[in-house]
Amino acid sequence: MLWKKGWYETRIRLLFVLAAVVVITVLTLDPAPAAAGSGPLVGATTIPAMLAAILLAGAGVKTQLGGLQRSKGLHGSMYYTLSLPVTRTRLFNVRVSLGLAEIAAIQVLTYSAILLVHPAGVHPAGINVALSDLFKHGVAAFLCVTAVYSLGVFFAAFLDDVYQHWATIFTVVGTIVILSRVPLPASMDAFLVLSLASPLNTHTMPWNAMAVLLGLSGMLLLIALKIVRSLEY
Amino acid sequence: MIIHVNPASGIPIYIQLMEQVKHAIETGALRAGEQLPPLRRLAEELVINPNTVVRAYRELEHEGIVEVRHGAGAFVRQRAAGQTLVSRKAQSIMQSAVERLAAAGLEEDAIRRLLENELAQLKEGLIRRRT
Amino acid sequence: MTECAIEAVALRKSFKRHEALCGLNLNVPRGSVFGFLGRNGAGKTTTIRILMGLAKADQGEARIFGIAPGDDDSGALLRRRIGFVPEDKELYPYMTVEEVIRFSRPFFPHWRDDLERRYLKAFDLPPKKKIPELSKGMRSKLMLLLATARGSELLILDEPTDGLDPVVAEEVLRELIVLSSSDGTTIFFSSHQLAEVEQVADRITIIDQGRSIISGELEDLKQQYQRIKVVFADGIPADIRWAQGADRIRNEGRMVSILSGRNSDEIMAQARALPGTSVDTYPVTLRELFLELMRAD
Repeated sequence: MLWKKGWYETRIRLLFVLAAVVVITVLTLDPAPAAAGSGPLVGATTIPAMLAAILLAGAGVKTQLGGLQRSKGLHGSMYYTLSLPVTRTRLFNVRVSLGLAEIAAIQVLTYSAILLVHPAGVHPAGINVALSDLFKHGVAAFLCVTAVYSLGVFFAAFLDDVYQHWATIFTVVGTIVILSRVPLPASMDAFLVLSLASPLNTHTMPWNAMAVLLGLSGMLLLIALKIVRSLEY
Repeated sequence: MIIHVNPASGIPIYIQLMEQVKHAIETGALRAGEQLPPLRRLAEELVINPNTVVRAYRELEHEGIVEVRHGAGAFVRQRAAGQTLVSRKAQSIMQSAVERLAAAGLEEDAIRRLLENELAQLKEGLIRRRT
Repeated sequence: MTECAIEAVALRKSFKRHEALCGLNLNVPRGSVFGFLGRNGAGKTTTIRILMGLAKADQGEARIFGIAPGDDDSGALLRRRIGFVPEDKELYPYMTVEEVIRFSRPFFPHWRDDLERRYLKAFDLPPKKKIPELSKGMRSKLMLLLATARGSELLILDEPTDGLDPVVAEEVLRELIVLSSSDGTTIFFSSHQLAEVEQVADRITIIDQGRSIISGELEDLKQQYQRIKVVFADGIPADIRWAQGADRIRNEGRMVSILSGRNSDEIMAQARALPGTSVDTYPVTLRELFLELMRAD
């Protein structure tokens, strides 16, 4: 089955990333009082997750569907995959769904790890954070990471593994820099959502920002699919 | 019955098969009423295309040498055995002709060329007679 | 039920600066063992890629069992009926022999357990061995297993015996013959091994520079083409004009060599009618035919 195969191909990366994320999160959450706001918490959960997204996006969208990568002998096997009676659309869908599921899993496990380490009230500064707010933050963060993942998938459709990583990082950093100079309405700014405008502070779901992220992700994935479908070997 | 073919000899394989079957009948290795090797088994053994064997057997049937019984296989016809009588006579005629030419000092290639020329004349003669 | 397994009409395909296919026609009847021959770069692999839906032709049409190959649902369904062994016989490096079989099986509702068992045994494939650890011959055999056990009606093989030792090559060819004769599987394969093609194919097409230059039943072509050698005792006359059908005429000393594709009889009669000639004919092997056809270009 395609799911099992995708799992085989991504599980090592996933485990590595998962371990890294959990460890980094727990380590960066120092119990000492921090500045007001939930900065450390947000940073700790989001940045490693984004790194995870970039890595996972590379892991296989291209290699599964073939392409320019000639490393690791996965290149030749793509002829076999493409000779199977499944459309490229289905291959793509399974791959992306698996990637998103893995991202979600990372998020859940990260937050669980945090709750395990600091069970009595989540925020180290002692300010109580409502679980519902944490949940909302988690969802917003998930969408943010999904957008980064979609960007990674988009680049993976036509770039080699290494270049895809750098292209994604570059774009994300570039976006942050641009957004810091050109302010968007706070409700739309995805990155603000994860820091100052986080549900942990606002106690509400940032619907606008989430819609933007969702739309962006959808668009990037659709374009990536189109590219993959037009590739020739 | 042991058959072998040379795919790279330039001579179509089905003709080689036909020749070998005819030779087997002439020398008595295959007798009237006996079955030729089953089609598929022969193809698989020689690693040649089954259609080639089909064609050989069909041509042999066309020449009246074998009879293809649907579902049962190909069998040597009674008449074929009779034909070997003709071939044996023909063989002795050929044998004496070659011996006499060789005695006259002709080499093998010269004899062959003479024969081919005569055959070509025969063919052209036949064609001229028809038109 | 169409009579044609593969049909291609006027296929054209160009890459950046190179025209790979310039109007290729192909006609592969069901049940045939079809040899697809040509030099490297003649367009064989490009044609196969188009047939497998890996690439799209710029112009022209290709159909397998009457259906156009491609990336849509009908193309995907079509691939249930086709077994493909590409030039690079590679599979997933993290799977073992039995894992890749288990992975493949659910995709094909007509999976042939009997063929799977037959090939595992006949080819002596070690089920628990990881694929990268298999020898080249083993990998070719495994790919053949995967291509046929899926219950395919058509096999498309790109250089199936490439790099295999004669013993393994013969095993592979024998299994192809068995498939053709017992299941009526159509086999379409490209090859450089002219001797093998001569052995097992019943039809061939020779492709050169993106076009098919000769096509037909192999046995007919071999009968049709003759090499006629005419020796002129007094030297070759300068004004000689050979009858139609005389190809690849080569003059050397007192001898003229002609490759004739049709009316060999007419040419031979013409030669014999000339004064002082000695005429011999020789059958032409596939290899000689191939080399001769390539030589003129």
